[in-house]
Amino acid sequence: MAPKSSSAKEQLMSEEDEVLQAVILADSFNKRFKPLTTHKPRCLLPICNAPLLDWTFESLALAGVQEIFVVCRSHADQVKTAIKNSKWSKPNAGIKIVPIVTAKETFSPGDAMRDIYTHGIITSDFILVTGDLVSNVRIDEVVREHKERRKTNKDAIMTMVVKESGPKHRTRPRGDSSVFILDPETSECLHYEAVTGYPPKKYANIPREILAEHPEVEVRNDLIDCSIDVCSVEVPSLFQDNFDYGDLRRDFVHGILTSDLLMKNIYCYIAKDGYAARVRDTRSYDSVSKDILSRWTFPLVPDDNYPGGHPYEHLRGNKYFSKGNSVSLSRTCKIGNNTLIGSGSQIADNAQVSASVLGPRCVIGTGSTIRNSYLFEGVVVGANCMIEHSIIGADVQIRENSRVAKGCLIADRVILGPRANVKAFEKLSRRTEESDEDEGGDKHDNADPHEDVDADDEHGDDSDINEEVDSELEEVEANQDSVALARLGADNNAIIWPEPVIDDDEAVDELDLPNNLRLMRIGDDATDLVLSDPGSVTSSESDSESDSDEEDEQFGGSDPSSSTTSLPLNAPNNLVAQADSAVITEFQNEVTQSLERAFAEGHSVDNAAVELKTLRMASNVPLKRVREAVVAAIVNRIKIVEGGNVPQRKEIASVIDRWGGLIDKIGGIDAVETIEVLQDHCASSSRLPLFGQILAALYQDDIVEEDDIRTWHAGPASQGEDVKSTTLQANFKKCWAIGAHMIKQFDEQETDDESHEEDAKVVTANRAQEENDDESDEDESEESEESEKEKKNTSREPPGVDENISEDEEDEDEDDEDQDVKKAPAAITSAPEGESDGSAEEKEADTKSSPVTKTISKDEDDESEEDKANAGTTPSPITKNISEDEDTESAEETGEEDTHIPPHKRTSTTSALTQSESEDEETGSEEESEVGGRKETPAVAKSSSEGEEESEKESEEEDSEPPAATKTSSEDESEETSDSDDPHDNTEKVEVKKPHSNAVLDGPSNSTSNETKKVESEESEDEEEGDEEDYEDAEDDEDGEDQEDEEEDVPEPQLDSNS
Amino acid sequence: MADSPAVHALAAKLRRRQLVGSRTTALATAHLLRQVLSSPSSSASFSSLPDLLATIRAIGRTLVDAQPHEHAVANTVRRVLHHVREEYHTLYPPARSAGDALSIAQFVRAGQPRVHSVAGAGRGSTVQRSDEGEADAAPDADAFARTLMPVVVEAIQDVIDELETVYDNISRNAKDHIHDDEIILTLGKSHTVEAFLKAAAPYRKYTVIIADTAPSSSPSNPSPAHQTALSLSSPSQPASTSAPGHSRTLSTANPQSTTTRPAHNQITTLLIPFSATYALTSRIHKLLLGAHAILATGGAFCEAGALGAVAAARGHRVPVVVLAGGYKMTPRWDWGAGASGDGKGSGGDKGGGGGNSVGSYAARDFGDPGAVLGWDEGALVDSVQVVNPRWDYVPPELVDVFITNDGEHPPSSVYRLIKEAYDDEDYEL
Repeated sequence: MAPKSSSAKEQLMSEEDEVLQAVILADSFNKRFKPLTTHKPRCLLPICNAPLLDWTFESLALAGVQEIFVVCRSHADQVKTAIKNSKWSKPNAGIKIVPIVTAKETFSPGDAMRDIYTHGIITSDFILVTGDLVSNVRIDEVVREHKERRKTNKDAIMTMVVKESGPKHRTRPRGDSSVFILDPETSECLHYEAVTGYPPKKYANIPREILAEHPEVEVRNDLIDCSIDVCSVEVPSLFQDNFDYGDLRRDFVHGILTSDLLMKNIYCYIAKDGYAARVRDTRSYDSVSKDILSRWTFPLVPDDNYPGGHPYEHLRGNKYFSKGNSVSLSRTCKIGNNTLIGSGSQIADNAQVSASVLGPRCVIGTGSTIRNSYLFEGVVVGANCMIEHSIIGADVQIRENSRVAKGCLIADRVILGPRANVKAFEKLSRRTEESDEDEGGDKHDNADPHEDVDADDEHGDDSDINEEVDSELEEVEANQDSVALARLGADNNAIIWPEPVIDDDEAVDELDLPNNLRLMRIGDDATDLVLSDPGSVTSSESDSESDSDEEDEQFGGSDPSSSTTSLPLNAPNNLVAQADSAVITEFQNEVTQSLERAFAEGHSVDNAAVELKTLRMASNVPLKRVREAVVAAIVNRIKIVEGGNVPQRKEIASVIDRWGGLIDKIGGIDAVETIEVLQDHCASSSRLPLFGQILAALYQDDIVEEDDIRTWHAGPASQGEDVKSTTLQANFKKCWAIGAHMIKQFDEQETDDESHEEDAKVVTANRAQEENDDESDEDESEESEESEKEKKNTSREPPGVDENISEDEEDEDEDDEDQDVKKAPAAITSAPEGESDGSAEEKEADTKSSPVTKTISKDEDDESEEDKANAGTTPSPITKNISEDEDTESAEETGEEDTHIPPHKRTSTTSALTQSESEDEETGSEEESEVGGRKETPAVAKSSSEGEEESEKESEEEDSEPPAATKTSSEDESEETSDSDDPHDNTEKVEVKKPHSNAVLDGPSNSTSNETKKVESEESEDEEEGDEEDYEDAEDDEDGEDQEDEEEDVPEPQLDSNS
Repeated sequence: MADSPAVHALAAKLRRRQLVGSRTTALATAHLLRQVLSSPSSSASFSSLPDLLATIRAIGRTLVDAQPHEHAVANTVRRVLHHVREEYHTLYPPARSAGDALSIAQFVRAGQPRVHSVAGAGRGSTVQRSDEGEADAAPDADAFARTLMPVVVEAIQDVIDELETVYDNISRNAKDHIHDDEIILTLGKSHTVEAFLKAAAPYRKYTVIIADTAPSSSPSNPSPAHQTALSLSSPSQPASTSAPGHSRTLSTANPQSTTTRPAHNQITTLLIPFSATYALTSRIHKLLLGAHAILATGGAFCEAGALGAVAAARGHRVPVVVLAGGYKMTPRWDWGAGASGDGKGSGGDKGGGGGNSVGSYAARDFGDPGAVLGWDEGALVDSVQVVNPRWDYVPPELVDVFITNDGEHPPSSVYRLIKEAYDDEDYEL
């Protein structure tokens, strides 16, 4: 009969040829159930009176799994025994279960996976679940889909099962959820971000490539991660290769998806039907229990396909009683809905039990109340007790008139009372000393089970774990507060576990921060915490977080379920500021400290550089931040010396000579940026007057070249346009003026030969007001030496050193410049004059009339940088500008890099300007400034690099174009122009200014380019569109403004310094 | 034998509800029995009738314990037991004890109109089992295995054949029950009803109204009523066998239910929400219901919502016709009280009925609330109690006639059908 029946079994059990394997990670690798789990693995905790592991087995059996490997670590012996004694190991169960005991050093799921790899047991695609899963999802369906996909795409290594849920669903984990970026077509998971409930996380980073490659993406925070993964064979080996992968999601999935090298795909399976949830903490223990009792897990319910041994009977109101009339209920007791009562339990008169699970052989005394609680087997509750929202371990005795407040965990065999008062969220376990128990104790016969379990523990080969636990226990025991113990009743044998204390220097996963853990414990509604997920529980009314209140209000009403909400458009800054500031601030502190040490201890430049590089790697900040920090440190190192320029210059020279080299050794050389950073720092610190001298010193030390200064000078940032505060902007202007002067002197040097006269003129002018020594130095050098090399070999002062020391000099600068530049079209601070009046006024008016423009322009650089990159990477070519090459180049350069690059529009202009002759520049700007008065000249200056022909064209075009019609014009050129304006258009829409594209969790703000990107969120799109229209005007204004800015590039500061 | 892997595999499938639906499970049970009993190693191991019956009963018990809600499983096992006994008695006619003259007492004890009457058949478990009583008349073990086993397998085959032709037999007289221009109301989805209606379609022109009782329906996962409506209104010929793959639909062994229906006999079909049932009842001529189980009292478990429809029909004096195969006849009298929908039945005290192994409330088979309340309604989940029963108990006084593959019967005579179909001693497996 054997052969026949086995073939029949084959027929019935599975249609597949291969054996379907599953791996259960039976260890939780955390301590959220302490102290219940001190003597018992979590996977053997009963939920609805059946061990969690059995629920997991049943969930897998539903899928037709034939071979299960159970990876266990702590209390492995108990797990093994449990498996051996369960119905699953019977010969006819049809499932082969193999326990695998991993090393004690297995501290994460990743380690367990590596262990699986070394065992080499996986032969085909397998199902990976945790040992605390309750599910009735048809996993075989997922496996089928996965295999189907594997046929065409060998890189699809994993399929994660997720389940949609509403925001306030009880089964949704509050403390530990995630954001999935999915391709709606294929449900490929493009990106994964873990989300912790507290501190609130309000945004997710989406790599830009994703948006570039996928026309549609879904940003979903409404998916419950069921931790059911269908994995291919290579998944364990990937863990092996990447030894630092710990968590399955935060490390593995995130790592795989962000890796450039692996090129593997991970897919999601969104389970429409069925139930799947993990018991990942005490809170989910509560919710999963309730789900089982209210039959969400059907048919995995106590009266149907119940994994536990004993059958139950289902009565109205989802009450379950053990079959066989072994439950003894008093006539006057009240059993509420959603209650499960185990076999042999007794409930005395007037006792009330509701929404609770009573294990086998529980005794509830007269008049006691049990609500929302879980009593394991053999719990004895005396008369008139009150237990709420708690989990009570096996054989606990609670004597009469006791009270257990919500959220308590009471470990096995604790004895409390009488009149015990257990406060909310307390964790109790039994004292280890035998003597204690005896004297505090009783004639109770729990000595036997006690002995048994202890014996088990001692035999356990996982002695390390036990030692660890024991030492923890001892520590806890040693620190008991006798007063607190006293309120647990006269006869108690309990110890109170303290709240976990987090050391500052101890690296703690943010998941395990106390406030986040609060979200995971039973009975805690955490109303005082402000959560990232408004759906979870709390509202934004709380005042506890003053700095995030604003955002909370904005997000409070938004719907987090699927990607339906757009960003609030009026405050994009807060989000990103919040995002960056923490990292950046920390990093800056580190760098400052490190450099101070280097300064103080006289490290070599190389050593200091190495240290900085390491720091940068560690905190993963853009290079610019490093530069900023280094420049700031160096500049701050320079003492302000009283007593004139000479000693000051010496001081500067000594510092720059010693440390200036560091600036170029931090991992990249970008002199232009160095100057920008220097300017930035000087402008905002008390060392403003030193700017010129420092710049000169840098020049002298070859750290910056002449060209760099020119480039910087021509760049938009150098004028501080995007700086908000007027004082700061004024400071920027001052610096810029200094630069202008230096450039002029460079020019003079160059043209020295040709136009001696002019030069002489200038020099004379300079000489007139400069200090004599400087002047003569300069004069000599200028006249005698022409090539830069020679200049630098000599140790004389470079041009333009002194000009910025005092205001007077600036005045003088301006005089000089006025000679060269005849037209000064705009002035910011002073009353405009001459031809430029109109434009300047208009510009001012624009700025005032549209506050939006201002806000945006503040972040313009970053935004347009990002846009630029999009333009460069999007499939449809956007930039067809005259300066196309430069555009794309710069776009490519930026890529995912964080280096700060000015908007390409300007870059092109800048480089063009640099290339062109200064006279051209002047004429160009002259012309344009004339036109600029008319305001409708968007983005034309870009093409000014092409010379007069271009500018002619432009002016034609400008003439022909109606105002504010840049975007819609049908002319070729204007199309190009508007194309190149695209970044700016997007600027408003994207509303994210971090180097990475940021999207707020609740809403996809990532619809970057109108034509190509469409985020699967109609609402948000609508909103965005609306807003876009709102901004239409502002854009135009801005365009105009930009334009003017560029036109005014050259002349402006002179006027400024005029003031 | 009852431990064989095949039995456990089927038990697991039943327990996990991977196999649902009366006919499907009944067929699976019969196939399993045939497979176990016809395997060469097994036939040799039966030395006597009690052995054989005990084995069959044990298998049945395993299956029933796994899924007490599928009554057809137990009924099929009972049916097989009955057939086995019949065959046995044809082979070895019981030696009537000579002194057994016809007496009143004898007549009362025999008490059932059985074709092949078994001597000394008891009532329930209180009387001694007939099998044990007959043991003395049994032949030696070898002969038993050789002669009886083929016949037993034959008998099981009969049961299977009966199951496979059940739709045809039920709808054999469909055209006599449905008349031209009639309006028929039905609920949800029942293969029996579907086959019945289709069988009448070639001969009659009538309208079917289908009340949608399912909590929710979507294009990807149409509710049972939608499927029925689609199937009835589509003109395709083999529609009844190619019903969309609902999990409760037919297995692969599904027979052709309608054979003579020409193409293009579309039925005019209306799909209405269940809430409109009462209003429309005044217009209909007949209420056709499929049943999950028919109890010996004449009551029936029908699709949830049926009780409301039946009550409305009673209010409008509309005849209620319940269609069911014979394998749905369940020898139970006691599930009605607690299971009736009024909610006053078994309130707080446990048990409701006296000492049933299956609670009468639970007999309505409460399913997953997810069909009623989606996961997106997260906030409600915690605060609302959702009940989603699969069946309604329709009491016998509300049913006018049962149409089975064995002809038409009033509720009051169901007990007789049950007596004929099963042996008393098998009521408790």
